Amino acid sequence: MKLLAALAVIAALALVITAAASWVSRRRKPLAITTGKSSTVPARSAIDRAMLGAQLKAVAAVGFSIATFVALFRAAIAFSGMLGLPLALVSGLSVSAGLLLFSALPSTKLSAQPTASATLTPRRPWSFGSRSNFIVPAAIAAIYIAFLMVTGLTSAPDGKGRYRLLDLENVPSTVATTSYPGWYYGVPLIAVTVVLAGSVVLALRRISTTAALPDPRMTSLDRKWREISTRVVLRLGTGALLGYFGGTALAAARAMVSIAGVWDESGKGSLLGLGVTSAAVGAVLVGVGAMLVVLAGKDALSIREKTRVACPEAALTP
Amino acid sequence: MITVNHHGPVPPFEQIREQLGDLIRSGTLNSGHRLPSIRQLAGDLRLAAGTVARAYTELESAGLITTSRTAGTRVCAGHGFAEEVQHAADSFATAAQRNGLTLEEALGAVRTQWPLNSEPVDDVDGTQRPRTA
Repeated sequence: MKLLAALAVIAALALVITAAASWVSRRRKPLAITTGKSSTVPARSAIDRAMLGAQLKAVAAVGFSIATFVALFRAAIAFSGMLGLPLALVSGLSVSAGLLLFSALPSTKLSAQPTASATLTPRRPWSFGSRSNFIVPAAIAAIYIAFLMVTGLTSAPDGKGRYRLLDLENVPSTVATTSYPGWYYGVPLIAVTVVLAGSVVLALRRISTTAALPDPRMTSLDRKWREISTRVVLRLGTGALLGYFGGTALAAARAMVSIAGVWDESGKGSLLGLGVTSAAVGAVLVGVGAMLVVLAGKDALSIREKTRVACPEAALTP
Repeated sequence: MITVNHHGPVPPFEQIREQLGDLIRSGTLNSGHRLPSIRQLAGDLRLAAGTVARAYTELESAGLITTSRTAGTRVCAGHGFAEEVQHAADSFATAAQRNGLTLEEALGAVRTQWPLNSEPVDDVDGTQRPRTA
């Protein structure tokens, strides 16, 4: 119930923020971008305001993900009866919430200009990053789902029929109950991975479908904010995915190591080796995941600054 | 890149149709080039989607583009200017710019010359053909 209440509060908060942002963007004086012949470059104030809008959206996504994580984590701790399942879902759900907020927040509205220009190249969700930027997270998600399938297939039900134990014979009852990421954890985690992937795609689509800055002199600037925002979204999504991939690997390692310590069968050594390897890989994945989330936050805060570098002549125009 | 003047006397859909048509005929947009979606172009140009859709429909009727659900909107082959025309246009535009003419003035020069060149002239064998430069 506490988890549901926390989710309801977060959903309401997201709704309020989205509605407020939408209201502010409608009320705020529209952006004026100089297009007359007297100016050879776009005005700094116009660029600043346009880029501030892009930066705020990215910062809101990262900030909301962190706030949701903290709120859900506190609520999930209270669920001792669900054997850590809510905890396992927290990072994926919180980043999905942040990315959904990113997709829902309206873009900065620009005032009607006498002229508007448009590129004749289609913008796609994958247009603003290198191919590897998209292949690596997709591959990680596929490997993670495969990992969950393997742990699911090697799991056994506990007394209540929940597939959360390592399927081995002659395991002493003292360690047999150590949680292992079987189907009980695997199915919800696969569902969260799909939700996270969907949120990332939605956010990338939002970046590509946002109307371009109307002035052809702002083309490089327009591309730059899209590239940085794409990087923020991908790092946030990949960071969350690696975070709970690592967590799952650590949980599997814990079950394997604790069973290997007291097991008397011939495969004891390899189970211990597998457990230690899994623990090491899990720790690395959690570390890399956390680092990616930090980098996403850093990128989100630097959109304005980096676009100034991309369009230095604009910064000189008052 | 195309530009639409919202306060100009020419309707926006006509401006889009004209500019895209010119880009296709001049070969700037090659055969098979995928054009942006109606939604993207309308958003970038600050126009209603119906305005861009109308321009696309007219270009499709003229056989310059083709639209399919899977391949999107693509430029059709075989509508580029002849190489001789393209070369002459390039030379003419260069000369006009060198002499400080505006686009309208340059087009005016073509408009003036056009009917003169279209008057048929007698060939040596007595048949009539359009006069060439």
